[in-house]
Amino acid sequence: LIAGAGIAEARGPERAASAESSPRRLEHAIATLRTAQRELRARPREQIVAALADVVETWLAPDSSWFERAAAALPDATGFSPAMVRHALPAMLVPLRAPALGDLLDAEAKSQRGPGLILHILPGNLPGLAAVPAALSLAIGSAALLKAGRGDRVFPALFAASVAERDAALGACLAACYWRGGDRPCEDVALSAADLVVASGDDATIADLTARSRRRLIGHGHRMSFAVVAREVLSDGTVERQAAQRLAEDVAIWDQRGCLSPQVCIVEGDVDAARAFGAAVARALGELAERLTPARLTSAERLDVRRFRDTAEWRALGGERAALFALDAAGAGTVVVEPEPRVLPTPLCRSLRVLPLADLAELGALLAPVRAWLEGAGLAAPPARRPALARRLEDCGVHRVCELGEMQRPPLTWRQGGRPRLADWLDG
Amino acid sequence: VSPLYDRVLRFIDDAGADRFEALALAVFAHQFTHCRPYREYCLSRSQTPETVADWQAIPPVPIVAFKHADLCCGTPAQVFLSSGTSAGVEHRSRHQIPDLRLYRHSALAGLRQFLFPDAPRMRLVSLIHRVDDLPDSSLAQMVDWAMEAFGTECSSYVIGPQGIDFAAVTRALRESERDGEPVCVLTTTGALVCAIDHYRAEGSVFRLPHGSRLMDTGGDKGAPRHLSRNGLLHAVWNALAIPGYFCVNEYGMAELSSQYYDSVIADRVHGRHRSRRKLGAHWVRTLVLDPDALVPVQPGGCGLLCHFDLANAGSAMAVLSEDVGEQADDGFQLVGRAAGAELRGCSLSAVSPSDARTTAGIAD
Repeated sequence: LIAGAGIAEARGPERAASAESSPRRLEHAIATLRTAQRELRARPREQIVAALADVVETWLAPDSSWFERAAAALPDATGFSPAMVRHALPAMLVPLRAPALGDLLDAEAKSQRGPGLILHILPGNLPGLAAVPAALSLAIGSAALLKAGRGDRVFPALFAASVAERDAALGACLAACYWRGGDRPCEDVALSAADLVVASGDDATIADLTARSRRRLIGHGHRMSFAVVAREVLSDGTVERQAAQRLAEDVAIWDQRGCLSPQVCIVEGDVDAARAFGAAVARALGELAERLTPARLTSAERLDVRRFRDTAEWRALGGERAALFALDAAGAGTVVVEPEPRVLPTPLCRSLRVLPLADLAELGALLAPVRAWLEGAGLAAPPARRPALARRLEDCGVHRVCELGEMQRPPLTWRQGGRPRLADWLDG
Repeated sequence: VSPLYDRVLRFIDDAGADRFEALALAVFAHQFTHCRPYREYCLSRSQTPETVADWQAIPPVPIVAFKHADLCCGTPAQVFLSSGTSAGVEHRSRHQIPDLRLYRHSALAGLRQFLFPDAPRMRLVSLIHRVDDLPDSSLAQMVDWAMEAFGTECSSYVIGPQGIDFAAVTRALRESERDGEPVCVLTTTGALVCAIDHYRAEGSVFRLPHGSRLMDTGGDKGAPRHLSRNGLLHAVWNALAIPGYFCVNEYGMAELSSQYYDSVIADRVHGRHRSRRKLGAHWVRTLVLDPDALVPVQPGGCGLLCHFDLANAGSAMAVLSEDVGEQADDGFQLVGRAAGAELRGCSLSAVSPSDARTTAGIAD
């Protein structure tokens, strides 16, 4: 268990991060957080926001030692390539730069305060995801217990330590910890202490945690995102290539593990148009793999990608109008063109399904079966069509519509899962 | 019907009649010539009968190929479907067999070698459906043939469209207890666990005569709960008094014409003292392949099982399974099924949580 101040310094948060919490140490940390939070309530919000902005700038500075420590530890801890960590980690902190945090507070919190202690059960998919919930909690005067996901035990501890370095009293309101999912004794201690739980996980996990929480729980379940390419984009070779490159970037960032990573691309046109665009995306993924080396895949991921590729190849050999564009390495990229209008997720690891749709007016029918799981949509369309398409996508249940190439850079105001970022956390 | 099929049949009957290596290459050439999708698949990998000189280099088709392409060298005489646990999402596998003699010969010779090496005929009790009830099932077909080839007239099916007929099970097993004639129980693993639970709840046990045996197959599908192999053997001993060395797990799939069996009965009959492993007959061979490069793993390593089944001469001989195993002596150990990476974080991926079983064994 790593508290923002004190314990972390002794061995370095990177090493301490791999240690698992025990119920007794959790209880101790929670007591410390509660004491520190009482002092936090008395501090002016502007002072807290300014300190957090400093922390974020410290991380984003060109010679940041915090960033270097994260960049050194994360590849081994997460399986992401060093190049990917250096490329993608800053984008996890940029949304917190001034004046975004102050603006969000003005818009959603006004003078309201948060609960005493918020437990954040973080997803383990992307490094750096802890920064926003940690900063938002402190900004509304709440202490935060960050329960790291298995995929990234390094960043939450480092971020907590960096806050403590800038402002010890603020850092004392932040603690990072880790226990294995399903560790009942630890979960029971944390759930019974928290005044609010914000949890990511699958539906069963969320339901289980909700039933066991003493107070409120806000759950974020699994989600998927997709891209939409209008027919006009395909009629100009240069524009089409650019769109393919932007989509490839959206797919490749964090090797597609985020809920804003597109898994499906809907191309306005026929199968041939989808095929041509799919080939362009595969080329772009190939170029990108040179620069952003793919993550280390687990054997299960490699087998899933193999099955995804085999299915497409044998559908084509069996006479269906499917196509496969696969790069040599399993994790470098797989583009599958499927003739039927059906939105299905992929095995991730930079895998994309490309579907033709004769007319984007039919988006509603195509997306209806997966409405509950939709999160973001990246759009490549001429400016004149964008507003109407964005409205249609929002009507289909999409929570964030943006330009292709911007999918992985959500602003702080992103309403994840259709919820306000902060308003739900505040005390009634 | 190709004369090659007769050559394979002769080899099944007599291991000295041919050589596996030569026959495998002949079957490959046959399938390359007569099966268009397979030919295109091989050509896309620049593999032809002219370039492939070693049976291990014959391109294997993945299981999914049977869902999407017609892998048949000629007109199918019979089509078997996979049990389709994931039906609805994908098609079920279709194994099209142009000459049913290949399957019949192979299935019966395999049973003789691994289940009945010491007993020409026995009382069979089947908890596997009649082929009339499940005409698409290759397993039901095999049991139908087994009844005819190895069963005595006291043999019976104790399952129907309504499920297991426990009264009939009890009758058949008590009769064997009374007359001392050994019985062979043929069952899916799922039905076996149901029966074990049923008789435990009822408080009944059976003490079947020495020489009685059990063949189970199909993994956990349809089982009310998961039982480890050792747990199952223990439960079978308690419920039926069939010892572990007479319990054989069959590993087969609709896409193959040959089956693999636990070695225990064959080892016992031939006086071999070796640990339990899966064995195939002389007309099948299995490689353990690295899942990325599809080359054989180091000895002792885990990988995907790739089967070369000459009895599949009319469909696809080389089949890359989705099963993970490791080489063990002259056979292999089944380690698990390569089904699905775990869900990560907040991104929904193609593997549904119910499918997401861990992949045991392959080193990451």
